[in-house]
Amino acid sequence: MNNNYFFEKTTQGFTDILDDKYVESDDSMFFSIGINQKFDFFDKLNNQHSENIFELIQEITTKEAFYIKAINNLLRQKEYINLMYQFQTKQISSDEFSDELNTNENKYLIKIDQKLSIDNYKVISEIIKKIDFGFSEDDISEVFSIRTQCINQFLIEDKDI
Amino acid sequence: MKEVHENSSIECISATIISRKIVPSAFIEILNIGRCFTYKCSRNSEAVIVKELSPKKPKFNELSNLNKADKLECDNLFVAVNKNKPYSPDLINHSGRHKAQTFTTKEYTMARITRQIFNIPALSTPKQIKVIKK
Repeated sequence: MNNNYFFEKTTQGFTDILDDKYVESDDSMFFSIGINQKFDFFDKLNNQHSENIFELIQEITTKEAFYIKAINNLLRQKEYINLMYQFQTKQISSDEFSDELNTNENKYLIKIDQKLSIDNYKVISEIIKKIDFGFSEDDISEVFSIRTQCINQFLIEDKDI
Repeated sequence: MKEVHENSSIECISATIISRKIVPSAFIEILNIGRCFTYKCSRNSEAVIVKELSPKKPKFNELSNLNKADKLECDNLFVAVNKNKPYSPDLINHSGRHKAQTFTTKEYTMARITRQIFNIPALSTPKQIKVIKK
């Protein structure tokens, strides 16, 4: 028989739950992990909350991945702009510019290779709303490595989401 | 043929790019195209095909314009050039009152309208990008 794990939020202390069956959250609330059947000592409100806990964890993990991706891509862009500045002010020749790009490709190259799911679109929308900057499709594509046509498709269908 | 609406694009071997402001953007790898230098053009931008692709088949967007003299006219333009060395735009007198920056590419070039001129009405059905599947 397969085990179906689930989280339950509880205000009870560690001692009330078996040692290998608790998870502590950042705000010191406790969650128990149950197998196959729910424990009975939670009220209905907590149950409602706990049903969304997996979604919440998933969203936080996805958000963190996008933050890291964005920082990495912006650093690459910054390095590229620095190199371009050196070229345009004739501090380096075009050959030196090309050599540097070829030698240290990872330092400069942004790969636009991610497809965009509905969930990721919602996460990115939330991130963008918190940043005071008018993002264009291309900005989103470069910062989060998302293919432009995917963003375009979602923007067109946005009303349906 | 002249295109003025968002997401209209051209693909060619050589194009002349003219804009009041051309800024190098990033070094990116795009599906089907490869490593590209990208430029963001803003304020009265245009791109004209000087030399067609051979064979005349788009690499990125099935709906791209491919004929010689096909032109994009817009506010903001995204340009990707599949090249190892970057271009430095030249300054020209583009109109009676305004100067503009320009460069002519000599490698695979894809340009796409990212913002159309504000007084042109938007299409009821926005143009889409139909990426070629390999």
